[in-house]
Amino acid sequence: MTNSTEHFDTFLAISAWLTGYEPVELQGTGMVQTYYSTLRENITAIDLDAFFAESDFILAKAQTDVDAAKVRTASHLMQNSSFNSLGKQIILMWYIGQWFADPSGDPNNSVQINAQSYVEALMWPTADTHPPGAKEPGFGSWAVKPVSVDTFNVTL
Amino acid sequence: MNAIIQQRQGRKRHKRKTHDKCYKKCGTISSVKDLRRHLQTAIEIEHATLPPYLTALYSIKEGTNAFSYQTIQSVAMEEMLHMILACNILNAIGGHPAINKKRFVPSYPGYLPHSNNSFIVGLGKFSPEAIDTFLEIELPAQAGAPAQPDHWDTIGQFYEAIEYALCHFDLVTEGGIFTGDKSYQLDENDYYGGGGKLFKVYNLPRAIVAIQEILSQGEGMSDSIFDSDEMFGEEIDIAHYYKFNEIKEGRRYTLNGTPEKPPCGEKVDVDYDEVYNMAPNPSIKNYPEGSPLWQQTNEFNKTYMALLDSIHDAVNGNPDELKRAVPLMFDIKYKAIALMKTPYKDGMTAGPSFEFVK
Repeated sequence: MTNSTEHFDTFLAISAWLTGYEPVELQGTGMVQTYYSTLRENITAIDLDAFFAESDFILAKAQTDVDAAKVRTASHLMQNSSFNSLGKQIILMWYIGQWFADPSGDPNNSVQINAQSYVEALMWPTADTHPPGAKEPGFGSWAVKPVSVDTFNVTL
Repeated sequence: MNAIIQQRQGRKRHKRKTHDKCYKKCGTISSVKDLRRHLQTAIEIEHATLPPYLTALYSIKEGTNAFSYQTIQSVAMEEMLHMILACNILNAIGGHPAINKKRFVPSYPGYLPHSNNSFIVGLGKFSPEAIDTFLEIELPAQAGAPAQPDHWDTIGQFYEAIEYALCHFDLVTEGGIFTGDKSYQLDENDYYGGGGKLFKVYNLPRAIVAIQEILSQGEGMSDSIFDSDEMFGEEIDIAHYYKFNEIKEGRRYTLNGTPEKPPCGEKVDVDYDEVYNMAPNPSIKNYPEGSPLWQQTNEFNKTYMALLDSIHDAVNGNPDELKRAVPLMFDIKYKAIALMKTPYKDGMTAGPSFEFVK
């Protein structure tokens, strides 16, 4: 049996690698611990050990050869047969805030992790919008360009 | 509005502000130019309270400390109102508020601008120490305390000096001093939310009402815990000092409450543990340049600068620009909270630093 914090750092690092967000941005959602606990509740320790061993390998590879690490990710983490689609489950968890029991099967078979996971889902900042009913951008904000576009000179 | 002004003018203390007495009480405010400089300081004081209030506010975890959250939020909203009211007064006498300049942005920990340097204000999480500092900021002036244009003991005494100077220079200047471009004035169409009211200032009575609104919301009417919102047709509300005292004491005031006695109304839950454990006085200098926390902090500061730019333009001839500031204010909140969820060191988290960046 693994202890409750083993793989925590790897989880954060592979989450960043799989979502394209920086670890510090993922920490800023306040969801890292919640999602890590969700993994531990839904996946057996043996399967987690295997997944994180592969994750450590890919992350180490990425230090020296990013392209090779990407190829390895596609072939070893993204296939339907890879760790029962755990890589996809992690991506969906971060982007949608839901746990998909079988992401390769019925797409409706998911549960909302908690209320905060809706608010902090990465799909909102990715689309430069906000979760309806939460993180409201203020009265009249619809009349101006999204803040980040204006502030940080992002080219659309 | 007119009724309020008449009521104010009817009050004894304003009747007594005849030319000679006002001149004596202006203290070192020696010219209209100097008066404008003091109003700029007033704007800076109002603004300097906001980063500490907002930092404590945003450190409260979602769904906890509902009373304290609403209290600090309502105070912060009114400080924003006071800042814009002070801009209106400065614009009314032909000044130009300078909001987006380096010297406008305070450094924390530090003293409030032009104060007597008796207490230090920092950026900290919601805590008993933070509430004690907030009580210092909003401390009511003692009855009969002198007007103080510099090295003030209380914000009320500083505004008192400004009020006397406005009266004096308006009397002795041919044509008066309220000659500013009226199109620079912001009113309730440009700002909403929070207690009190934003209104245009283009003569002495309105300037006096503006100052009284600022003071009564902050420190209370001279011998009462209540502010003047009731006169503005709003719900009865207590002044900032007493609001913070409710948090400190964990109890509400009753309608019979007085400044001399602690609040004795219903209990309120205050839980200082349901707070992000932010390391005090965050600064971008704490992080190696280019590091992830450095970048997050830099993005926060850039958003803060964009907000100050927006407000600066709004009070310098483009009132519509204040609408653009709204989403920036919300974005600052979300970025501040994200920083306070991010581990920094020794079990503490990062936080918003409110620093000047180009």
